[in-house]
Amino acid sequence: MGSVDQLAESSVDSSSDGMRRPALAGRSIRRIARGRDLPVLLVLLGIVGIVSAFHPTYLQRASLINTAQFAAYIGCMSVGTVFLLSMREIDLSVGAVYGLSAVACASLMAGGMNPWLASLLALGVGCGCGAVNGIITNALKIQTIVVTLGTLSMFAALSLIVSGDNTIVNLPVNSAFFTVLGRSHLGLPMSIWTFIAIAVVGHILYRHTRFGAHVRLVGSNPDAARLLGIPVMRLRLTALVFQSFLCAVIAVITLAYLQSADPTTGVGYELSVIAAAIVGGTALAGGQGSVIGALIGALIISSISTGLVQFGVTPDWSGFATGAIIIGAVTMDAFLRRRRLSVAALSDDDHPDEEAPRGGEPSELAGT
Amino acid sequence: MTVRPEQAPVAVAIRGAIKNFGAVRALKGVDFTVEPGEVVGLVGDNGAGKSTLAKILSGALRPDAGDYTIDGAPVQFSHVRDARAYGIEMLYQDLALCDDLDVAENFYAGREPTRLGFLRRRWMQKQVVKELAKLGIHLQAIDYPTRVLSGGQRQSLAIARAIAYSKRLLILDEPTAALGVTQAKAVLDLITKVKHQGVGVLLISHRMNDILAVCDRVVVLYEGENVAELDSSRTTVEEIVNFIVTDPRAAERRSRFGADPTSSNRDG
Repeated sequence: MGSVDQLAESSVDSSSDGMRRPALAGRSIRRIARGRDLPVLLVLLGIVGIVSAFHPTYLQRASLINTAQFAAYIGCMSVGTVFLLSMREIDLSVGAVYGLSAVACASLMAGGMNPWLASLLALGVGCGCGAVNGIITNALKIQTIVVTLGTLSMFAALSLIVSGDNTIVNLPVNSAFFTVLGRSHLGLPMSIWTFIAIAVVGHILYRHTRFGAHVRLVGSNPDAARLLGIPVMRLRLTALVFQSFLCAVIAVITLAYLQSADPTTGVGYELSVIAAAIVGGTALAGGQGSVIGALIGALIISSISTGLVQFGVTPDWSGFATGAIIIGAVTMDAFLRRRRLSVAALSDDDHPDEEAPRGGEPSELAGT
Repeated sequence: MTVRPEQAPVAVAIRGAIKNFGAVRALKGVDFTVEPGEVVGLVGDNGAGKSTLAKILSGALRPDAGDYTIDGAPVQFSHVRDARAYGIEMLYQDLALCDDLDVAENFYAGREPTRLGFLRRRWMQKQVVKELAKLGIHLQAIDYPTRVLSGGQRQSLAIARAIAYSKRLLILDEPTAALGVTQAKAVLDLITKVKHQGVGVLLISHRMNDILAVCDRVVVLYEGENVAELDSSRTTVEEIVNFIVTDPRAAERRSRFGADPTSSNRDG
């Protein structure tokens, strides 16, 4: 079948990605080494480097933990966002789900319920919010971004209603729930441990399970996914529930740390959460993303905030800086992808008899 | 090959397939059969109903009416998964691959092997090299997104995937349309290979020379109706093209007092 060999003869030379990788290296390490997450990591190190060059105290333990802790709040949620963006969905209700879960948990406890049971129910509330998002999206066949724009308002309003518009205090702060989940262990607050655990689990789910593979498949080519028999609706529902579940988890952990629940907590989180995922290299166009990248992205956003404080800049500017970083990161990502594609297009010159790519090609190809 | 007793069950058969899209009558009662190891060309002008028929056979569309049988037993597919369970696999024009996923992930898309819930990525990568080698395809970049592959490489991967899973019927919708001469030839060689494995093949193509090169039989559709069934060893490109462009009702009017037009067409 010599002619068949010709069909597929040319090996791929994608230059920058072309390094041979060590067989035994961990896949995540290899992934970073192959350059997927490397630019984001360099940005993070750059930010930390610049800040600490002027203010060495930035590298002190307390300061770093403070940065990581803020990153943990948005990072936990952005792990779920990586899955959703990868399948071309956006959940805008994350902050509201976070707030509602915290308020639900706190009011149950304030009402005398066992804190552990209350937190379990709060996780249930979170999953329920995700299920509402998913069921409405699937049943009415509206875009997720529109549905969650609506539920954002609804869930935020429920938080206010449940809490009576007040911060919920009077919690049984001496119970084991608050002493175990609210304090530091092995030098790190529980939120950071949670973040690490969620990132590891999320990464494995994303890269090494059928669920993750299908999420990427749907986002990469929804039509092909349907024709391959992927249950798209069920997948969307699962991803939305997973996203809300993560919001509820970090809401419970934060409640244990803060020992109170403010009904307006979580307002506006959605933008930072989505930003962390995008900065971390997850494409809005779907198909590809990185949980490790989102972890780094969350750290970037958080280090900008805490870094600006070091310079004595008012926190009001941190949103401005975050926005600039998002635009920068997306621009860089688009630039790198164009370069990768033009390299791939060059390798096509080995096939002089090849016709132009057809309609099913990624749209970016048209730009090269 | 075309001569067989009317009553004997054929591997895959559909009789009287009707499909309407709103007011558009895509299929008006089409008959179609494929025997094991038989390559049947399906031709017709744009809008003749070729893709609609192919999608019905692959389970992607449900016919409004029609008897679909496999080995003589009636079947009803409401999803591609149902057809797949019978070893019927379709390669879609342009829709085949997810270019963000790597070669192995694409090859196993939708039926990823897992162990304890985890993807067997390494096993998949080893296996995909073997499966591709069986068809004489050698891709080096199995853990790169298929985006970096050339058009010919992508198409060969998509075809290889369809072949690997089609145990009974392989449906190819314009598999060579995007390819150069050499690559198109390679695809035709693959089709012959599949045929020799005893799998039936339904080939949709506008390239009449390709059709004549690999098909045993050619079925011509005109505006959702069968107009001819030709033995490819005894027909010509001109004859096929003539059937594709000629309104059968014109022929019907001519042979109003003659024999049944369908059977006269069958004689080629």
